[in-house]
Amino acid sequence: MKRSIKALGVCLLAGAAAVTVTGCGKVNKDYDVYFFNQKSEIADSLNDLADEYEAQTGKKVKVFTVGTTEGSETMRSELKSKEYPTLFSSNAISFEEWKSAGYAAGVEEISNPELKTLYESVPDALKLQFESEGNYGIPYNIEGYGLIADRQMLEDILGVTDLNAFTADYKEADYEEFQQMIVALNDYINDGKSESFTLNGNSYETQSDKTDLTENLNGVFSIAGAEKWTYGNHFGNYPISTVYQNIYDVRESDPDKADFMKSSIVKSLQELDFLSNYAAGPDGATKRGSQFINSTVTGYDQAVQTFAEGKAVFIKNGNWIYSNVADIAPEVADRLIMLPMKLNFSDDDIHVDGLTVDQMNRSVPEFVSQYYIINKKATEQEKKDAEDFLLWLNTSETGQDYIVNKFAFVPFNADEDTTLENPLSNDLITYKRDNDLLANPFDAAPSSWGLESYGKYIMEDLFTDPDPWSEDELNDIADECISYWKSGMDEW
Amino acid sequence: MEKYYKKWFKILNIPAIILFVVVILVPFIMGVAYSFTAWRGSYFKGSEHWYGALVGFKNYIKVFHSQKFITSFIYTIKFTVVAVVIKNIVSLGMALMVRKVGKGKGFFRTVFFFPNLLGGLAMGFIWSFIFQNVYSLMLFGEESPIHIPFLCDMLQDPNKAVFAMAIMATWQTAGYLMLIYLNGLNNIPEDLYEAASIDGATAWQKFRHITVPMLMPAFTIVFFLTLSSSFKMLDENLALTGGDFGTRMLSLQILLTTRENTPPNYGMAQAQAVIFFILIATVSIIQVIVTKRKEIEA
Repeated sequence: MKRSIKALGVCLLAGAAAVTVTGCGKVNKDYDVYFFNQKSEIADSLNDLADEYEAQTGKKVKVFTVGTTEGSETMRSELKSKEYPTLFSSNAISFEEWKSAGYAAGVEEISNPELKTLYESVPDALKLQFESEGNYGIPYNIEGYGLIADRQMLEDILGVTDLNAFTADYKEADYEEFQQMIVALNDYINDGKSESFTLNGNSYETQSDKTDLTENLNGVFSIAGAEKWTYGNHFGNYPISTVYQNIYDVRESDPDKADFMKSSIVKSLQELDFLSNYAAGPDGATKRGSQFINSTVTGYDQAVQTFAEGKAVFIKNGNWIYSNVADIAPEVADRLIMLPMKLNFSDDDIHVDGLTVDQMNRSVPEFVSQYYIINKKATEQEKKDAEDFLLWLNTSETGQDYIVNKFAFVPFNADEDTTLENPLSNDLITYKRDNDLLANPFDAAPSSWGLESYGKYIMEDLFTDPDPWSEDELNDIADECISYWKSGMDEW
Repeated sequence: MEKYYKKWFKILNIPAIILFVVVILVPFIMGVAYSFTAWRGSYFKGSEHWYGALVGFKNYIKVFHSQKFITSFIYTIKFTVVAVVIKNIVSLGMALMVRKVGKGKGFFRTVFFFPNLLGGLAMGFIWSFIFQNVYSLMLFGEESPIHIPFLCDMLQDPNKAVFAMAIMATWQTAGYLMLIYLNGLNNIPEDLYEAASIDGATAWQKFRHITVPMLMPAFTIVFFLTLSSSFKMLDENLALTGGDFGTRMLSLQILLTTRENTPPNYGMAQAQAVIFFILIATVSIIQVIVTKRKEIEA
């Protein structure tokens, strides 16, 4: 009895000791490349790709995926563990942490000459640079956002069979014409009568009766009022773009430069004041007020559903909504088109060299969601294996096939021949080809600016207010946004 | 058996002590040390080691100047007061009720205890739907049969949100607290009530002069649990309001501090955590001392 009790005590002690010392021993890695991926949409295809790579080269790739919200926390501890990722991903916003902590290998440390060329082939606007030096990653893809519509819906409203003339005129139209169009569309939705408007000087007329498709319309826009990020992060990029050319411009400029944003922030809020009067809900129009930000009515999924079910003409969103729309209405998903957002700015509000309002009104913001980065702290052999895999992924036929067809990504080096299943992605390639692009300087804003400042004021103070927003209030909000921006910039 | 415990007490405690030291004490001490550094999550600003990145009390000074920290602190106190009162009244009421019930006692106890088994965050999202949709649109909205403005859009107003979060937290924990009160009630000898009845005491007098003093040990535990859990509450806050409309509480404030800067300012978040710890420790110790004094040996 006594012996067995003693033995039990020893076992417990040993167990506790084992718990404390685990992780201090040497680990046997059963893989050649460990890739930490932060884009959950591609997790499954990435695993297939890893199998394929192993079959072709005999090198084993371990893939670990964590979605974006918790990604940084998990990756932080993974990078510090014995079994660290040799290849990881990051967006431009969080990159500074990995760079400062010494995990990011720059192009000069890449030993494979072919991969080096690939790094250098990334266009300047998409490069993962840091204070105009370095080149630290290969972009996953390009994403972009604008005003999304169902082609058939617009054709039905206008009674045309070819929308090309309309889209060409729309791209050239100014904000006043855009407002006129919205009012005309709204009148058409309400009374089903013929309404006329002009775009780029050419006149258009809505049909004088409703079709099966247009009958369902409840409003012009589907707005996800309960989701601060849809306007905080994405709409907020437009006023930022009037002052800052790209993310590097934000990081390198004096924080006081933010003062120039005031007039464009106010005007962007006035534009939202206008747009939000024409919002569609699941049943009838949605009025500004407490319901406008009720996540059971205007949450992201609800807003996409309202649009996909043909209850709204437009939704301001990005090419990523294709799969959400396809789940609800596959026929609508294949007819989606992306139009540029029209902006309530004048040339006086713009402080970026060479940028004009006309150019902004023609363009869509495009950005890189994640970059592949090689872990600088990995051993030489691990780095070499990671390099080989990264090169194979981006240049081999199999890799390219996966990127375009399985990941459904717009490759950063897409050309005219690249076609995807997602029509919105194809539109992005067209905008890129025509050079009608805005950057995404929002990515360098203080990281909570969109959600805790600009977007928060819009949600809490403006969208809940059914009355027209007063200029004084908007001026105050703009001042608050700018001071939040500046104090956030001090942290750098 | 006593001899056995005496002999093995220390040895059998070692695993627990090792775990406590490794999982709580060491990280706690490291955390305090890190709160004096420019810690940025995966690195220390300007140095390879934490002692190279010491910034003195800079993080603490920043915290006390932070409007967000101060407002979350005040809001946390507001919530704690409301939640402690509601939780205690409801759980004691439930305990008194369940005790009197003859048939189906077990059934009621199970039903009341059940919400306690469900996870905080997931329940938060369900309650978020209840407050936003069931309350605001279906039951008490402007177009509903009974219009109660107070119960509409509770998550869009800081004062209403205190009650929304308290309702949810009470629903979730009252069953557990009820068990503690029930146990306390069962420990009160019946003869005390009998004697009081013979002396002609009313029901209220019996409650006031027998039940309450005899329940003091249970009060101590329940107060301690509700006070610290309300002060530390995170899940309900995150799921219901996410801190919007000025409803950010201290735990959420600490969590969000690490997300509000790039690279994340863990040093400042850690400084807030240390202040947070001191606050909870002080409040809890004072509260335990005060209630202990009132306890009566049964």
